[in-house]
Amino acid sequence: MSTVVGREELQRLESIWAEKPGLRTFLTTVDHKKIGTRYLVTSFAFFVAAGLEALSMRTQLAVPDAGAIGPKAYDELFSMHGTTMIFLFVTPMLNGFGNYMVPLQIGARDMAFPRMNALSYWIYLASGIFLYSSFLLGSAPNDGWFNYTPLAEKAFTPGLNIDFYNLGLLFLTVSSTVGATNFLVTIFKLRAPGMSLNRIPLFCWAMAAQSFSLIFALPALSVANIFLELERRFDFHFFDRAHGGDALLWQHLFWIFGHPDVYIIFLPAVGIVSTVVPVFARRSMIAHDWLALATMATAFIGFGVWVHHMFATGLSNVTYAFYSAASMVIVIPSGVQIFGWLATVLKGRPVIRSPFLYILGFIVTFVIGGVTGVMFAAIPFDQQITDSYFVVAHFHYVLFGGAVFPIFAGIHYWFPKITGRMLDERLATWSFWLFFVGFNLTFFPMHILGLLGEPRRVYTYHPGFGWGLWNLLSTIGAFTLAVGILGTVVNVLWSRSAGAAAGDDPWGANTLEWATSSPPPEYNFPSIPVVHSVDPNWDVEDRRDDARRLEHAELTLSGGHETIGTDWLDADIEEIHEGPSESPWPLLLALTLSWFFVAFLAGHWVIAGIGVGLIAVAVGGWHLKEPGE
Amino acid sequence: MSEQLAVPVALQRGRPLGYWGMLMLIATEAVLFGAIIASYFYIRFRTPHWPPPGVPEPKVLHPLLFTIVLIVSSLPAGIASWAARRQLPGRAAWGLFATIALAAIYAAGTLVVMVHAWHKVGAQHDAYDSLFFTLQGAHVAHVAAGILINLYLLAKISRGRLTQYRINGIWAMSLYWHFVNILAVFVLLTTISPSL
Repeated sequence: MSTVVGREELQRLESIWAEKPGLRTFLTTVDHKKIGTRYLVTSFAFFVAAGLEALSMRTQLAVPDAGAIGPKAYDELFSMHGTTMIFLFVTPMLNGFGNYMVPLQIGARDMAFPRMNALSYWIYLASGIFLYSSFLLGSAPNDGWFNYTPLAEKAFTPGLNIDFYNLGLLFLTVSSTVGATNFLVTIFKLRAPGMSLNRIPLFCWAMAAQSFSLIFALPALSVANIFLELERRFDFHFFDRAHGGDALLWQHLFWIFGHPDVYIIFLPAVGIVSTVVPVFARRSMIAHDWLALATMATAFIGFGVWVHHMFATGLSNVTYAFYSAASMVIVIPSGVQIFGWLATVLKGRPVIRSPFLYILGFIVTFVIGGVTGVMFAAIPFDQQITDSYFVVAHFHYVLFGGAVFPIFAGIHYWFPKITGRMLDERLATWSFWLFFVGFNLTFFPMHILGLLGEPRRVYTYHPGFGWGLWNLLSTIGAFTLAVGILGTVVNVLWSRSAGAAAGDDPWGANTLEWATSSPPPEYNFPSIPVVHSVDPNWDVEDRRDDARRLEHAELTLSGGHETIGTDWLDADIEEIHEGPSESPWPLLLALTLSWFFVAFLAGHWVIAGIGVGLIAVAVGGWHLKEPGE
Repeated sequence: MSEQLAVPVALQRGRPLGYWGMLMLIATEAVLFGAIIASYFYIRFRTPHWPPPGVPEPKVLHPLLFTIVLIVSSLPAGIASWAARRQLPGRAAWGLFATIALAAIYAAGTLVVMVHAWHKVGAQHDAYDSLFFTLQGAHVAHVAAGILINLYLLAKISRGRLTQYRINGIWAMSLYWHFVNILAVFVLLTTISPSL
């Protein structure tokens, strides 16, 4: 079958792209698949850390007047739980899937900026370690994940706690911005020939929407962090009334970032849903274009609703009316997506396997969370239950239901592609049911507790309030959930080496990552695929054409680290891009940035200044040699 | 069908990836400055006296002149990019040099203005001063970073060849440069707004 030309091309690609095993390659690799896997593993470790923090809190709250954890430690636990889950788990985990899958789904050989991809991972790792080192100094962030002023000002929180928060998030923001830029340029410039705008897979649309949101939302958080850090370190004034500042400025800046961040978390997760649904419903996605539009619309409208986090701060009624209406409007694109999935499932012939179970679990939980979300848009109701456990119940239904369920679907769905082996289906099913029941048992009682008046962020409660039973149920649920997650961890670790062989395409899927072997070769595709529909891997004849092109050495790009650049609209071929191979500079630049942030935290200005110099040197070194030189 | 898909090696139609990456960086930087400027006016409209009593009104003339010098530097930056793309390394180098020189005048001049203001009141007096120094300082820092990168590019092309990699770098930096200069107008209008 294979010709001499084809075999020679494969060998050439192999020798160009292969990386030598060893420590050196480990530190310098720019392969998007390796970086993606690192993102997945690292962020799962942070998920476990934040989960343990949650279990400690639930243990303390199991019975009234418990003495397991004092108020000081409790404050640090819930602050770090939220900060970790939002910044160090969900977003990086989804970026991990994005890093691994986006170039494969669009038929490219790597990301647009492979070295920046490595950089964003190293910065993420360093900033995560930076934030968690605060526990060693006994001064972890302790003013909640949204860190409101005036509590977060120096006068009220004098320790290093909030400095860790400010600097850690500024540090992490560099990583997220670099990553978002990379995703956007990759998705819009490196698609396979023929993958016009209306044929982009929905997961890639979701990553694009997320990246746009990051680009436009993160600076508001950075400005808030910079202001607060200047105020704490150099006695500047932004938030204190005594010197002409305004405490609400923090809330505005934070939520201008914070509400789009909800969609930054949610959109890529629903991108996973839109990826898995057609595969297991065994038919093309109904209203594909509408779902893509709804994704972008959600990201856009998400910038106009931030004040609904501030309905209890006493702003004007006109302001409230506008943001209340905008908050109702955003239901529409979410509804389009829900009905798109439901219609696809109903019109298809669903095959229930473990990834799909998590998707069904997602739909149930997310609809409940969405319904309580609409309730908040009614301002009198919001003012009644704000800062109670009802809010905690709501956002866990939305974020755990809307993001963690799809993430687990993604783990089960893409595990065979990443490892070449299948997960154990029986164990996966058992884990799912523990996960689903545990989740609902943990968070459903919190609705009731909130309506009964239990305030959030308080480390204990009085026995006379009658909250004991619901709290105990919630704690039992939390441990059930933990067992379910442990089941998945065991399954992953065991199946990695002992699972059944998966083959290239175990699910009969429609997107291009399944058109190559599992795990994919370093160069992803021997010949760049050419696409003619929205379900390219179901176009059997097209995929045979790919194989034929390899035999004629067409579109194999075997002259170096090459991939095809196409125009953003129709994906016509524009040019060949030559990308860089292994480089030590991403790691070195991340280390110099760490130097700066650690010195700044410690208040050693001279050493921090040297750090700035080192950053400049690292940027210079990065560009000293050209790719291929 | 497959015959048409063989890729001509010298095909070069699109803009470089770095160009698009720079556009994204510019977008996020625009929001960063937008947030600082929005904070400025948010605080301003909640304050009865702006600037607060005891703080002198900002000077207009010098910042205005320095900003004009900076805006003029967009011209040589554009020439550098144009010349680089046409493989004219000599003109590209002169363009970069002129850009750097004009930007250095702006940076030095603005720093003098800031040091003067610092000696009068300092940034720690009031929210007004903090916002002024943060906004102006952030902009000068961006110009300084631009100067450093342009110097690096100048050194690279005057000693080495004008390769595609360097052309892309000069192209992307000229974009950044136009952005920083447009930004200067907004920064100027904001900082001198109490005197207008």
